[in-house]
Amino acid sequence: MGWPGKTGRRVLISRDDALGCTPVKNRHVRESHLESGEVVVYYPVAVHPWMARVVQFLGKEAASPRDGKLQLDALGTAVWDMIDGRRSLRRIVTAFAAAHQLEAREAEIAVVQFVRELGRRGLVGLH
Amino acid sequence: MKPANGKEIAWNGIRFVVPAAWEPGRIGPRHLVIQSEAGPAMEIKWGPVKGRFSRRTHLRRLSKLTRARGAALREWVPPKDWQQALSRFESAGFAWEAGGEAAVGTILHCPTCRTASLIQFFQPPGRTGAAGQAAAVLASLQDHRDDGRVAWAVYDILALLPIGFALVRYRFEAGRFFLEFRARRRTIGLLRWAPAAVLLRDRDLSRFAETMAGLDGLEFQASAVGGEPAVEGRERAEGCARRLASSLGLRPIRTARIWHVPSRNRILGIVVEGRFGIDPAVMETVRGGYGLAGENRPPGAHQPR
Repeated sequence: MGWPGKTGRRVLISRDDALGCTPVKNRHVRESHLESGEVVVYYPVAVHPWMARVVQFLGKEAASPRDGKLQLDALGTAVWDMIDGRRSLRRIVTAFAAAHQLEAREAEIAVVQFVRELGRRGLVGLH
Repeated sequence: MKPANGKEIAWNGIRFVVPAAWEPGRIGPRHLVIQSEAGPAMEIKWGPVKGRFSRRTHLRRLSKLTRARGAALREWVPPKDWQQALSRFESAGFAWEAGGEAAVGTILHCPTCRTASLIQFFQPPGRTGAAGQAAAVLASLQDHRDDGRVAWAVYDILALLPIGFALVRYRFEAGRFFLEFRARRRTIGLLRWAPAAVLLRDRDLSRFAETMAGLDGLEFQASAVGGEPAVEGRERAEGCARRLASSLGLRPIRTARIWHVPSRNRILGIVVEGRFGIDPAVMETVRGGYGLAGENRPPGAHQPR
C-alpha cells in the first residue's frame, strides 16, 4: 500500500493467504541425511526442450531425466524437516522462529524465501 | 498513552511505540511503512523544514499529488484523542479514499526542532483498521531528543548514537542486519546476526568475525562484554609502508568488537573505521548505546524510553 496508485507490483495473493498455504514435497524427490544432520535432496531435472531437440536431431536416444542435487545447511534442513504436507507456512514460520529465537518477521522472510526457492526448483508445491 | 504491550520504533530522529504485532515493512532513510498481520497499517515520512511551515500549503500539495493518482483527499478533523496526543505539534488532518483503500492521517510540524512529519493510518472502507490504534501511537511520537543523541530501534536492535553520525547505508536481511553511520571521516558499523548457535556451530567467534563479518585483516583477541564472550579486533601491525600510510591518514584504520549473546541466540558487532587512529572512547560510547531490545543493559547504557 502507500499513497493511492503508487503500488508497483500487482498483488496476486495476500500475505495472509500465502502464509495459510501448506507446502508439500514433490513425491519424486529423494532425500538422505548426512552425518552432520544436514539433508541432501535429489530431484529430477527435466532436460531443456531445446537440448532434447538437439539430441533428437543428432539421432541419439531421448535424453533421460537426470538428478539434481541440493545440499541444505542446518537452517534449510530444519525447514525441510518441518514440511510434512500438513503444516501451513504460518505454522512452520512460528516453529522456526521459536526454535532459533528469531523475530517473527525475520523468520517469515527466511522461511518464505527458502520455500520459494524450493518451489522454483520443483521440490515443493503449495496447496 | 502507549499501546498495550507496545514496541518502540526509532529511526533517524523519529520515535514512536506501535502494537507488538506491528513490524517495519519498508524502511527508507526518512520513511517507514509499518505492517500488521493484515497488511500495511501505518506510514510515516518526515524531514526538516526550511523557512516558515504552512499547513495549508502542505495539504494543497498533498491534495494535488493524490488527485493525480486518482484519489480524493479532503481535510479531516481528527478526533479528540488525536488532538490531545498531538497537542505539542501544529497539525492538519486529512483523509483519502481510492477504490478499496483508504487512510486517515495528519501533517505535523514540531516548532522546537522544525521537523515536519506526515503520518497516515490505513483503514479499509467501513472498518476501523489501523486507525483504531492511531491515538496511542501518536501519543508516543517524538521527533527530537534533548540529550544530543539519536535513537535507532528496529526489529530487535537498539542503538543510541551521537547526533553527528548520519545514516549512510543499511540492510535488513534474514539473519543479518547492518547499519553504517558516518561523521566527518569516521564510520561506525553496527551488525547483528542470528541464529548464533548455527553460525558458531563449526567456528569460534574470531573465525566468525574474520569470515562472516568480513573483517579479515584484523587481529582478534578474546575478551568479554558484560560477561558475554567477545573478540576485539585491531589492525595487524605489519609492514613499515602500511604503518606509515596509516599514520599519514592514507589508509583507514579499523577496530571491531564482536560479541555473542547466548541467551538471545544473537551475535552483535561494532566496527569503527577512521583515519589517524581511533579514540578507544568512541568504541565504548557506541557499545554503551548498542544492544538488543529487552536485553539487560550495563549500567549507564541506553535504556529505551
